Amino acid sequence: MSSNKAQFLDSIRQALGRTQPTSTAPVPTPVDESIARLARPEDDLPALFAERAAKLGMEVKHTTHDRLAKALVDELEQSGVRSVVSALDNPAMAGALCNAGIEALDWRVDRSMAACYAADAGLTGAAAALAETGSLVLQSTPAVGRGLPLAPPLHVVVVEAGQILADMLDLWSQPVQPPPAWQGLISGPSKTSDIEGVLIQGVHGPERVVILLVDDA
Amino acid sequence: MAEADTHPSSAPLTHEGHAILFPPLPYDMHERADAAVKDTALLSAIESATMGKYEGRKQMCARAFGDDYPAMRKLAGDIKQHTLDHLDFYLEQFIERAEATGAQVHFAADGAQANAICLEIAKRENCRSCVKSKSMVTEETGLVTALEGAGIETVESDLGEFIIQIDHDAPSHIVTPMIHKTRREVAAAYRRELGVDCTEDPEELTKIARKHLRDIYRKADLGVSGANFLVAEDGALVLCTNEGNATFSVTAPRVHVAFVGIEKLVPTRRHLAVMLKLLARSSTAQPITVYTDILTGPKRVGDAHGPEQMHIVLVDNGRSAILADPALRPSLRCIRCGACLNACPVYRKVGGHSYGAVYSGPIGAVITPLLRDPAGYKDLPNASSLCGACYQACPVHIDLPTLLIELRKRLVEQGKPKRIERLMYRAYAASLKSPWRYKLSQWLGRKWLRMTADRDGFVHRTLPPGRAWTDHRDLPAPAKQSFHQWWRKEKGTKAQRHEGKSEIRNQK
Ligand code: SF4
Repeated sequence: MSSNKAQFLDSIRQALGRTQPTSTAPVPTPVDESIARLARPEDDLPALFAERAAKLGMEVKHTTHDRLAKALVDELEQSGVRSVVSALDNPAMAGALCNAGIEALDWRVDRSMAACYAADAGLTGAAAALAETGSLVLQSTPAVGRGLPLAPPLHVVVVEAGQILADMLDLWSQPVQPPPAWQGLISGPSKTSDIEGVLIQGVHGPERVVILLVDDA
Repeated sequence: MAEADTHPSSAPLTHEGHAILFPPLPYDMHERADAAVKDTALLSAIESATMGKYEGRKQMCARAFGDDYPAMRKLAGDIKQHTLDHLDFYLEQFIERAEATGAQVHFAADGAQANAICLEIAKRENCRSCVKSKSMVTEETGLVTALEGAGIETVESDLGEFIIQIDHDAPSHIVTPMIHKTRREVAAAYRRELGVDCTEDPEELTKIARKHLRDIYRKADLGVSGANFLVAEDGALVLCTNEGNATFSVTAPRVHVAFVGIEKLVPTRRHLAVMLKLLARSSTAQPITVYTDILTGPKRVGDAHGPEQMHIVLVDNGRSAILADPALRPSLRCIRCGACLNACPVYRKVGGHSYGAVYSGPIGAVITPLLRDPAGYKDLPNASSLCGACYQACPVHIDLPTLLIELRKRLVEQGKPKRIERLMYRAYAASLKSPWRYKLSQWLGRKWLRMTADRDGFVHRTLPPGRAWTDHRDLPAPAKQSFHQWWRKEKGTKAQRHEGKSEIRNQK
């Protein structure tokens, strides 16, 4: 049914006026960082990240390692959360959630989409964060799946200050080999303004994204 | 071009929407444009949707890039142009790397082939229900109609596209597809098609769609998407949305099929970064879309979520013919941000449906004739005042006015000019033969137009051949006196002219 690969590539080659595959790899346009870079490693990255993440509509709460478990429980209680799926590998937090009477499903026990659909909140860490835009970077690994930050109405994400990169150019300075099946830049709660331009949060993904920014410095 | 031949005949025209995007050819845009211009509700809806983004884009880009903004657009344009100039190499690299991640790559010369590939996969994998995220290429090929024709229930997941689908309408903007619709129409469609009781509150309408689509995600075994970019160096496919519907559509179902135009490639992820920095700023005045999903292959061993199979259908559908034409090749740089639509005074007056095709606005006026049928869409390249606002807005530096002029030139060269046009040009040439003839013709023209003008200072209707103009636009009446007359009276005394000349001489 489909035109085969050789034929397809041939037609592209012909369109470009070539009869043979190019023998040497073309040199791609250099990315001039003096133009394209929007944040520098020497900037105050946690401050920049917090400011820009807030501008994207995410709620940023500053905390420390010691106070993290309490900050998490406070946040969930304030939000009226009854059940969570947690991919946070942290026994102290699991204990705190249990004490607060929040039904916490350990991701390692139930990794189904069904569990993600049912939970009031998804708790995850992040693979990195970007000061440039205020984005979270998540990746699919056995330790976290792509439905968890997406399906529950609330996503609570723990970000360590040391994980914050300056610019997208730093995230992709080297090709990742092999790349994860999914890398997601999450930059705010799910939103739309399709109906008469009225902004509404929580279309398909979470209505709220809360960032617990752990900065002991 | 192939698509023009295959789409309307092979697919049943079940929805009115298809007649909007696939009208019989040759297409005369005047009828719809006239109706749109008179529809004040439509005009104010389009105006408010586009102007906010137009102003927002300028502010966002100035804030992010400052004086480097022109250089940034040039950089992005150069990256895309380089990739197109070596598309054979980058495509081959992409295919090899994507296959190494476990994705299956397919090749479709035209829309019918692309649809057939998708149907074959759906049949083989026994898929019954499909959820689809917004994709312009699938609009081009008419995939939804093809899937439904094969008995596979298909639901659009982008809120705007979802509403358009249930209301049997068609998108009118490449980024914000339902700017022509009101909340009242949405509520009416919900009541009629979904059988729900609802108010016209956008929040309520959105939450109903959320709930409805959750059930669809759970049920669907086929997820269809397009792609905003492909990365050659690692075979990645990139999706940008604000709603998260694409993420869902390619996460929940067990089979993912992506339709991608071959022009979507960039060499590396660093080049991708340059594009992402411009896309959302140009499109909706955001620094980045809420969800940027970078997908490399189906789910890995040990992954909990994600499709078991990932199929990437590379779609040509007229693109290699554009590629083969160096003068028009830059049109393939387009990253479908919609900025040129928002900037275009013509688009803002006539709306997307007037273009009679999937792609509207300035970029649509260029690529619709090229992808489908130049003779069938000969109005489109003329639907521009060549003011250049689109060029200024374009993040990949496509000189749209020059491309439009090139297309006009070709249309004139190919087609025979009308008799009336030949007569007009002959008369025009005759009037330029001597100064007195020129002055006389100008005087006559001015007199006549001032006589036919209404009190508001505009000519609304005049005799043929001028009527071809006034049928669709108003013509401002000329000034009382010509520039020549004014000059002679105000500044042009002999003495002054003499002085001027001697001054110039002295300067030499
Ligand atoms: S032509 Fe340029 S401005 Fe228009 S949609 Fe494409 S990239 Fe955006």
